[in-house]
Amino acid sequence: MPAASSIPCLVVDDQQTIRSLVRTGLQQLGFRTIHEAADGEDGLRHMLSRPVQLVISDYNMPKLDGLGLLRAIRSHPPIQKTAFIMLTGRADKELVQRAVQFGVNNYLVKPFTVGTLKEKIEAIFGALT
Amino acid sequence: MDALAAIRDVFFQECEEQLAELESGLLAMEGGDTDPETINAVFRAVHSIKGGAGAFSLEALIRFAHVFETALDEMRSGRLAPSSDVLKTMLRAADVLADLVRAARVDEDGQHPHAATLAEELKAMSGAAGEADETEEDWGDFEFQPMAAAMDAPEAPAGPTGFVVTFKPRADLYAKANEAALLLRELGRLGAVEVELDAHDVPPLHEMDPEAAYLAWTITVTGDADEAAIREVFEWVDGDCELNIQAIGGEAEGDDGAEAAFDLSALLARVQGDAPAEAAPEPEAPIAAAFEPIPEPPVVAAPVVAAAPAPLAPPAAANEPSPDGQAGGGARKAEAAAGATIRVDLDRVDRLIDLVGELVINQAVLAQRVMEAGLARASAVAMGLDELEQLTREIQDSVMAIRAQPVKSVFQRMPRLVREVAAMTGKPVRLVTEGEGTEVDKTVIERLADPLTHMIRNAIDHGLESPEKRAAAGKPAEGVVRLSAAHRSGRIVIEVADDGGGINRERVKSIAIEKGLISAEATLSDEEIDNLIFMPGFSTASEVSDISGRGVGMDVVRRSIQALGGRITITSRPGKGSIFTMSLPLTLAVLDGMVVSVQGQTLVAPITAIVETLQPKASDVHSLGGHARVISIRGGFVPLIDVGMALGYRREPLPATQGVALLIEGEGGARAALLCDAIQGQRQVVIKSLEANYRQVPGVAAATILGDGRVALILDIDTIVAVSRGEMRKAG
Repeated sequence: MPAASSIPCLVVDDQQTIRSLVRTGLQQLGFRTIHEAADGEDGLRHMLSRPVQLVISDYNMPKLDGLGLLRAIRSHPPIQKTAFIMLTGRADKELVQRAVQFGVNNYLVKPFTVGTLKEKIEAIFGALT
Repeated sequence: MDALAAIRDVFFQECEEQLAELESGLLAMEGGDTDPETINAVFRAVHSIKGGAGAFSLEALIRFAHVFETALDEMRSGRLAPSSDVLKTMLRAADVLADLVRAARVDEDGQHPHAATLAEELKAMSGAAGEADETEEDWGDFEFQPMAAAMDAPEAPAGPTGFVVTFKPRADLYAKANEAALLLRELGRLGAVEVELDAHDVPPLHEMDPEAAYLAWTITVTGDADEAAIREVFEWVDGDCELNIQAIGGEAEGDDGAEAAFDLSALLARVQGDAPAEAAPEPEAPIAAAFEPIPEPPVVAAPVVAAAPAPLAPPAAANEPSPDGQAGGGARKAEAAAGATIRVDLDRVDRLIDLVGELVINQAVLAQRVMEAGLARASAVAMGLDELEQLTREIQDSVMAIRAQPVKSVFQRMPRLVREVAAMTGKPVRLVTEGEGTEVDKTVIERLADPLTHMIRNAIDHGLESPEKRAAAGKPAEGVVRLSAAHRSGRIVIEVADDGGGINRERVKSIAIEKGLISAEATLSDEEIDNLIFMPGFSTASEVSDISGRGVGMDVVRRSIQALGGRITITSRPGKGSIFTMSLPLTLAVLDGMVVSVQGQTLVAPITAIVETLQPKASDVHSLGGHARVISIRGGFVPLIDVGMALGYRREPLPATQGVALLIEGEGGARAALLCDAIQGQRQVVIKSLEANYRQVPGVAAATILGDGRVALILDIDTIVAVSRGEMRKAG
């Protein structure tokens, strides 16, 4: 039963609106260390300098999309064990299938509720305290 | 729900950016841009709007964005060709989307007159793709990577290069006389540390429990410390805190920064599928720095006592740059790249501008005092003051630049307007914009939208000929309206040009005579005739059209430009078209003024209102009885207003020949001559509100402080002219 406050996370999305929404949701769940990045490349750069335990990333972003970020993370041993939740704009089965192939830990369809966010995170880490 | 309301604001701000991107992308594609990134950006814009709208349950917006997104997706995947017709429909859809966004912003998430028909058109384009809408329920179960499996992944070849420790003491920890700061210091002995304070839990002061623990820390330890050593530090407090230790790093053997940089570019190349033959080992500074161990003794947050967690230092404070400025600076640069812009409350910027205005004045006063004190120009004080002046000017310019914005934000509203007016008039039009990056004060930009809208409408409605006439004149059927901006001698010059028939001077003149604006005998130059269209009440359209409005013609445009301290002129060539040129100040905080003296007082008249200055001859001045006088200027009469009398500085009028007259042009083109004692010179003055500091005074627009520290009033030309005219009418 990990404490949410002990899980540092990174929110990657090119829309500040979504980053803020995810951040607000995470804060409500007790997360304390929440970093943000505006695209996949930015997110990867962030992870190389300051690793986190959970990445919640959008799929459709400029420079490097969510799948690219996921692949980069999984192919780089120092960060490859980071939990990864993919945010998708619509229920896109094909996309989630591809993400699963690359080792995604879960997905989240926008718009989401704090309840769903919690559910998806707990599916990975177990019940949060 | 304040947090949500704030996010909602951000959403609408972002929507504006995305709408702009959407439109410019579609326009670029219309112009032949086939870059896949363009269509991607266009798709992403609509996708993002839909995503955000979903979070706020803006149903009408979501529905329309969804249909639009589907059509764009078809285009992105190559199933729908971006033909001119398709793009035209998409542009109209972009307009509807913009309307829906704006309606949603003011809580009108309702119907749009064109949304339904356009949605149908878009659906027709998308074909079958628009029909089936997947839901998650149809998916069955996916086998997600469980965390346990991830944990079993093969170990990294090299050991970890560091650890991220999250440490949140509970109250018990302090109760047992342990000290968080000491633990942090202890950690610092194990290697280089970076400490980030998390003070989220600190409640407002009145709710604070002196016995409770509110602070947490994230500590990144790099170097060759192992996990056991770190655990040992926390050995005595293990049960009294939340502790998490995670290994980081691995392969980067020898901690070579360049190698880490290679990592990122190689990683990116790998996942983006375009690994260059020579994976460039060009070290990317920020990343390299991030991997470099910080060779400094650890920096620990200021000692924190449990009972008084007062010093809420921002995280950066605990992250002092190392003496060589490399490691810390590099990391900071990486962060700067992540957020190159910040949103700042406009009030704060204005307050700063105000203060800098004060600084400029103060500096000038100080310089004057130093001169008066008899200090030599070459003295150290005077030289230092010169440098201060230089610096002050630079600060002023930089601060003004904060308020400056590219005119793009108003220019980008014009393509839509052109599309609409073109459709209404049946004239094919191409809009060409230039100099969108030209910057000018935000307030100027905001107040430019209306006059520009009017002028562009005018250019299409009145300027451009019908396609038939153009064909007859040997011109291409498509008319061109050119909108451009440029900086010219400290002002911004905006031009609206059309390649239409030019001003029909015969007709303009006959209308002006018919409306009694000029006498039938008047001989006017071409330029004077062209400028008649700025006269109040002048409208050449025989039937008032839907587009150019109700005869509120160019006079309104001119008035709004003048209100911004600007000027507007027209040049026209028959058969070739007309050019409207607006010249505006870059900022509203300073004013180009003519400094004059009146009865021992120093006053400032805005240069933009002054047409010319003249020395009145006795023979030109005629009395109308009482104190009312007129002066003859090139055959016409204008009222001669004694400023000293108008402001109550003197009871007897100044003999006209002893003063200087400023011929000014006020609201609606009304002319008058202002009689002053003498002209002191021309200079830029910082505008200070008189209303805010004293009270409103008729005839005075604002005040300024001159270099010698004296206050000078800035004349409100329009009021002075209006009041004097009223008095003159009474006298006459």
